[in-house]
Amino acid sequence: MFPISDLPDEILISVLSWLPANDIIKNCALVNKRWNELTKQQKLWHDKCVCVGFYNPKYSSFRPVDFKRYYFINPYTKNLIKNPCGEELLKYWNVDQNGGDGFQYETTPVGTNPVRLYNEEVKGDIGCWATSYSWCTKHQLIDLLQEGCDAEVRHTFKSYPSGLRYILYKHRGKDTQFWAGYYGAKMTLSTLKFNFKNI
Amino acid sequence: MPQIKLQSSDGESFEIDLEVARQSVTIKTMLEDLGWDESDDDPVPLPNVNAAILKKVVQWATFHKDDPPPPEDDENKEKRTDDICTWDAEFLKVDQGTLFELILAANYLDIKGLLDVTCKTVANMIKGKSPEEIRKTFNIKNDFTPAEEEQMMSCNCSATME
Repeated sequence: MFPISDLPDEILISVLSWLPANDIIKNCALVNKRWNELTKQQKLWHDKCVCVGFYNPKYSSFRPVDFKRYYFINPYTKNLIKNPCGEELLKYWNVDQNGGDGFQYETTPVGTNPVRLYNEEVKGDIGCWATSYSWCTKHQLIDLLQEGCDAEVRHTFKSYPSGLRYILYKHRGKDTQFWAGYYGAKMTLSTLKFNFKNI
Repeated sequence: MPQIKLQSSDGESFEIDLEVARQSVTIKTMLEDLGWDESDDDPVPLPNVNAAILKKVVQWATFHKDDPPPPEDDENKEKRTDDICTWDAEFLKVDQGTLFELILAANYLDIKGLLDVTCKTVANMIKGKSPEEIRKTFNIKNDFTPAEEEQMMSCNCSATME
């Protein structure tokens, strides 16, 4: 009988590419030495990235250095802003100015509609940051290299130079009436994502 | 309907509809390169496929001859293995050896539909199984030393998905 071991690498990789990533790394990799090697092949993870939409050679002018790592970290489709809505309070944010009564996290935005009415992608209720009667400013520095964007990005992003390494995301707000409390501009759902479809 | 003769590696000839044969990109290209026309009576040699497997391939291609062509851009689609049609599932109830030979033939003949469904079938035989169960299913020998195995198990625990 024709044994599975007689199938060439490229065919076995095609078979593996149909499996969930968990089966590949937890089970297939431990079958024997050859299978272990196959589960590390760039071709396999390239194909998996393509089929889940993490990578599309047509839209992407970059090519990840390590497709397996890229598959799991996937920096290009996730929101690069950490703690975007404030549930973890000021974690990951650097406060530059905390004027008036300072930043206040509101589990349910006060004096405004629920966030989901402004953004149809939002399901359920999310909180927001409220600012006070003097400038409240905070920022987050995104280190693209640390986020796993180790690919060579050749495309010049709109008005950004090539070789982009850091992105500084900053927002601020205050109320114009000088009221004590948190009546300044509100902010939530800060999002920074790559969108390759527009390239 | 024009007919064409295919010849297996072991010398058997199959006369099939041209439309059925053209599902194989390899055959289609070959015919174009050869400038084949209906008056041609010479069989197209397929040195990599034996008669038993070619018979199965022809059977599959005949059943699927009216399928819409596969979408050119099927990227961005989560790969599923649970969408094998009933006919294919029945058709692929064969011994493992035949299944692997069908994969090889589909790959050589470049018939995407058959290659996908045969690869999916093998993937389904692997899915959810432990390494030992996979070895048993396919009669694979474990060539790791116990030390190597232990080391892999320990680093695998931290390699969970995010």
